Amino acid sequence: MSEERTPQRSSGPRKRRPFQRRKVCRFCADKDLVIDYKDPRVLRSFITERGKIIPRRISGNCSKHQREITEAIKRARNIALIPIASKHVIA
Amino acid sequence: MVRMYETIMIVQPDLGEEELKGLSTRVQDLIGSMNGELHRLEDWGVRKLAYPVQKSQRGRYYYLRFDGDAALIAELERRLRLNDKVLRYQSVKLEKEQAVPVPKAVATEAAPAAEPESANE
Repeated sequence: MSEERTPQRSSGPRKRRPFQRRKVCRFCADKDLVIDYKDPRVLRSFITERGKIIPRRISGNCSKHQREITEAIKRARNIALIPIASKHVIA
Repeated sequence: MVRMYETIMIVQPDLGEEELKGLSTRVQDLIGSMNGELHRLEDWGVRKLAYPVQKSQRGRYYYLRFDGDAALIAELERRLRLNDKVLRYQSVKLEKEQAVPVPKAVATEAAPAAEPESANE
């Protein structure tokens, strides 16, 4: 996947990444938002276009909610509400 | 020990009325006969599947919400497994009752293939 390229700096042994605002967990911020495997609309924003689960460092979820998201995505995949991979071609 | 369960099953999209009715009555009878308590039985209609299941691109979703013990869920799953009409099923044990009712109207992506509800002349 495309990583964000940090500008290469020759100074200093450690390359410092540009400052980023700390992402907040959407589910901690909004208590009304529920994680449910039956609701693919919420889950869609946590999978890539290829159907992979977006990691916590990108999505900004807290660990508790990321675990719940992961489980919900796996359940939804199982019951064909969201895709497992990008393209399922049928003959 | 009575637990809360929910089951989603995907059945073949091209079943007749009687077959669908027979399926739901069989499920109701089973739950009734094994001391379960059926809370809701919903037909979500025919939807497009996110990927083909048993070579079928569409499927009719059924949602069951019931209380029962382990024997009931084992028997229900055994029967669903044996039923050719059922493409897939998934049972989930619920920790707590969902406060919000099931988000049933989850963007019916595929146009429901001719709902035969208003088929009165």
